Amino acid sequence: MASIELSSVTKRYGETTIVDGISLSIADGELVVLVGPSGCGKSTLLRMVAGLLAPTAGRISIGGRDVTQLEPGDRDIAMVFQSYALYPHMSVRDNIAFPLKVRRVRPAELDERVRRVADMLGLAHLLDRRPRDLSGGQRQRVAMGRAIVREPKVFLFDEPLSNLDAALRTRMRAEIAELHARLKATMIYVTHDQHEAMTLADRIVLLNHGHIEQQGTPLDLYRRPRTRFAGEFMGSPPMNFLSVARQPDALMSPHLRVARGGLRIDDWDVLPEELVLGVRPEALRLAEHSSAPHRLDVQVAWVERTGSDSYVHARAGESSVVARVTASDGERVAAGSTVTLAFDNMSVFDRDSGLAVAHC
Amino acid sequence: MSPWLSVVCVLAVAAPATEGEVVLWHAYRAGEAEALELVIDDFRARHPEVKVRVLQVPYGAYPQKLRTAIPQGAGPDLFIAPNDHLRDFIERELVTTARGVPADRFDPRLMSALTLKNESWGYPLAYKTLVLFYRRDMVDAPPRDTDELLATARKLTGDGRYGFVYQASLPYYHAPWLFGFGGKLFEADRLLPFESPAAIASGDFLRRLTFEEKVTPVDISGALATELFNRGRAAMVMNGPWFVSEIAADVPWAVAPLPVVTATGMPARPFVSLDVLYRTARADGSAGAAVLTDALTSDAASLIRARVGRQPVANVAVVHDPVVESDQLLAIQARQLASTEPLPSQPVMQLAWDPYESALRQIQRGARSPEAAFREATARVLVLARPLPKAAPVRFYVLGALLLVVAGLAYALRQAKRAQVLADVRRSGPAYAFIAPAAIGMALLVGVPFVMGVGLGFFEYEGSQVRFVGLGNFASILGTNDYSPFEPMSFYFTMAVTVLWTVSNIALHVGIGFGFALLLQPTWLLGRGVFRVLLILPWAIPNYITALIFKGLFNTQLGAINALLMKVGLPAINWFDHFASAFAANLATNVWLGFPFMMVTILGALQAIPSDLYEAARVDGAGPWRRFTSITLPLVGPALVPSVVLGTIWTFNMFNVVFCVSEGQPEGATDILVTEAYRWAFMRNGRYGYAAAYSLVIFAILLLYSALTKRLLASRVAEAI
Ligand SMILES: Nc1ncnc2c1ncn2[C@@H]1O[C@H](COP(=O)(O)OP(=O)(O)OP(=O)(O)O)[C@@H](O)[C@H]1O
Ligand SMILES: [Mg+2]
Repeated sequence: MASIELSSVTKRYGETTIVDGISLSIADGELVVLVGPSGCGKSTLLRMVAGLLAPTAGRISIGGRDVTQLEPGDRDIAMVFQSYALYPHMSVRDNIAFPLKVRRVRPAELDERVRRVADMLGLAHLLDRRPRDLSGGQRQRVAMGRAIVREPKVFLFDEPLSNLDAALRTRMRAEIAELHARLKATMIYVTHDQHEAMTLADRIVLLNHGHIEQQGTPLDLYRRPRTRFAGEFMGSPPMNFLSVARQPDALMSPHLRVARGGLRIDDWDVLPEELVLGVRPEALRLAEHSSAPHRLDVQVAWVERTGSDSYVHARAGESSVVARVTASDGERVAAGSTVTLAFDNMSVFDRDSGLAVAHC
Repeated sequence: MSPWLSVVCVLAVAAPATEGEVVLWHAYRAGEAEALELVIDDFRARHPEVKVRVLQVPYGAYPQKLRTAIPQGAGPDLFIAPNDHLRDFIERELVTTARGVPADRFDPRLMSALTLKNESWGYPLAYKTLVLFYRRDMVDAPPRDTDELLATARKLTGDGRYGFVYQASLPYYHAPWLFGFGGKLFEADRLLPFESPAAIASGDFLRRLTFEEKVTPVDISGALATELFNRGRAAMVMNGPWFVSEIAADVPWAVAPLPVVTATGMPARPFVSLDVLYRTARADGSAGAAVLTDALTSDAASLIRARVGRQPVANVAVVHDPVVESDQLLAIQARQLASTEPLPSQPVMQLAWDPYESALRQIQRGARSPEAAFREATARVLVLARPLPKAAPVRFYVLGALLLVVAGLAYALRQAKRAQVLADVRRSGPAYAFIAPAAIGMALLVGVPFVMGVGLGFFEYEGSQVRFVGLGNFASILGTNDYSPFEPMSFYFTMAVTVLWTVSNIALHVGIGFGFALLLQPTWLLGRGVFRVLLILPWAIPNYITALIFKGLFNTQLGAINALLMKVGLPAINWFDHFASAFAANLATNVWLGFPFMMVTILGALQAIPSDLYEAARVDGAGPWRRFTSITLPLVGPALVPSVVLGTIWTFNMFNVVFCVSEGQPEGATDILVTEAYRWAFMRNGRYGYAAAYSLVIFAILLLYSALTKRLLASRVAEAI
């Protein structure tokens, strides 16, 4: 088992900087999820940790050993690719056994380890098949098996579940969580699915344009987004943003008024004049059923019903607002009508810098 | 090619003559053709009542065409051809005796060369013989005897120049020495052994010229001799009258008769070959043909040929024409004519040229003593001239064939019934009707020649007679009765060479193709596209051109490869003297031709391998070699199998390279099965049946091979992704 240390890792292609001096410490046995929008450099960073890409600058060490110059095979890591990258001409057995064969593990031990992993992943009856004769989920499992059998210090996953359907993805997510609990290995898991990130991670590292936007526990990121971007990226549907102006006693807009008293902000007077309120859809309720202190008047555009909940899509002046309400509340709202929503929890961002100034 | 095919070709060119028309065939070109045209124009003006049709036939296929067209009644009334096929023509009854023109019109020596069985078989129009050309700026006086020849040549040799140049490995060019030393080829009509003391002495002389004194280069083609002479790199050239038209305008040249052989005091005696006007059976009883014969052989026509065509002509009256006398070439030809030997026309000579040439090649390079080389050639002719298979009982074979056909039909019917072919046809009637014309066309174009070829293997020609020999040809091929199976003559030897040839070629094609494909694969490589095109080029150039270029590169004295070897201080190699080096030369040529195909296939297969497999393997700890063996090879392999199967068949039958580069040297050892079959058909008295049988054996081998690989393929492809 091993910790991972990245210091000022940078990757440039010509003039373009893809990964911009990222420093990150990952503790032994921790499961870190890298999230971020497409193209933000998640895979690039992961591939540098794996050794498939050489960083332009910076150092990477695993288990206290500087591995920046080492081949992937010498870093004691295993990686699961988005495409699985199974060897098409080898049976499942040979795919799983390949890393052991390369390392000249004795045949008896090799068989034993392959069998153990196959049992663990429920692949025992598929060992003689070729990858093309497997379903997507089975292939994914074989790819996991090939990674596990090595018993590496570190696991790297690059969107391992994105080729699976929703149901299978949920199940595999659970299996990976279970695997982590059992193996207690250090893992870096890349995804752009924030749901996956929330459920799996010990710690989430949110990347944007090649730098770390915010890192912390899933709840931390959810409750206390450091920036407007973080608030928007984590959570689904994304956070609603409402422009407000700071008045001496309240935050004001034509559609809402948040009294200073309810905000418990000490240095009110040094705040910028122009602010943005971030309110999560699930924090909004119909005012008539709520005792929450703040009110917001919206014009309902349409209501989306998922069965358990309803999403009310509405407008408040220039801003669009989504509210997640109970199914029965959803019934009562008609498109085109004006309703009043109530909320208590919110984040306040500086409109210009996008940085959070308060969470309440 | 079967004679049937040549018949088709001939019919395509020459529609049968209409009634009363006189048809004349010839193979003349340039000045000689021009002279003939003048003569014909003159004749047409004088004899408007005789309709003449003249057909110029390409020289290469000429004897073949005569052999096949005349018995079909599609041939000419008269034709002009050299005299070396005379006996063959007589035996095949292609020509009739010469009648109607007084024999004293012609030089009696030339006339006698056309006399056989107390009959004359044609009229001599012109003759050709070797004489000595020399550059006046290099040679003051032409040598009178061989000692002088050597002395003059020695003085003018060095610095890439040669004193005396001729195509020393060709029997035709060696003949002057052979006869000058007192040698003989025939006694009555019997071919004598080659290794007579006089012949050995002539061989010693050749060895002196080329090997000991090196005043004569070896491996010289006619074109090379011309070039050396024109560039002042050859002082003297022994050649025929045709050489004149090849000499550059600015070269000061002169002609002399060949020197006297000092050792015997006798003049060197070259062959004299004749342009003969032959009559076919169609000319008998045709008044027009008789008039045309007379006109073509007349002194007037002769004069035109001499003046316009600059041909040494056979008419006695023309020898003293002032124009002819003042033409140095014609005058010297006439003088040389006094010391000549008629070109042998015995059919067995056709078999002798090749072995004789082999012997001369070995002698000229000092690879073997003249005695050993000639002895070997004699033995080889005996094998080549072995008796034809005996006639076989036709009835027995017909019965067998019938049984086979019936069995085949029954089997096909049963298969058809089982596959419900008839029901299928009925259901999709119009579709089958649409493809029917193409199917019938294909069946005719492919099926008929194939059946003909198969049938031909069971027959053999003896003169004009076709004889059914049953499996005799096959027995003769596979039996190796007249020689050991380990000799180049034997089918098994040739087969082994062919297999070695195929295997080594494919191994190198795949190996080198793989190498280049791997080099060209990385996307960061600059100019990748340019390299790709460059590397595919060898494939795009017609292979016989490449083969001829390589032949030149491997030339012993003038080739670039030996020049390079000598530059780095290595000895020059006589590439075609030894099996290994000759085989290597062929191999180099065909590897050059063959690797691009494999490279392209492999490149395609490489690009189809997803790059993340390599990344996964790197993560799994596999180094470059392990990635190559565990990922690249197994994934490229299946894509390569069809190419290897195809390449194997192409290489197995790669005629052009073997035929053009090593030409089978030494002594047929590097011949592969197809070139050997070709030699039997076209270079050894037209043993069509034998050659067809040979081709059938090749066909059977390839059939077996593809049946085997088909199985292999089916299982391999099923396994591949
Ligand atoms: N070889 C390259 N040359 C230039 N730019 C590259 C190269 N490889 C990747 N990039 C760029 O680097 C950026 C980051 O790519 P990366 O694959 O790390 O994104 P990602 O965060 O994994 O996105 P996704 O979620 O879509 O997989 C992208 O904008 C991509 O275009
Ligand atoms: Mg990615």
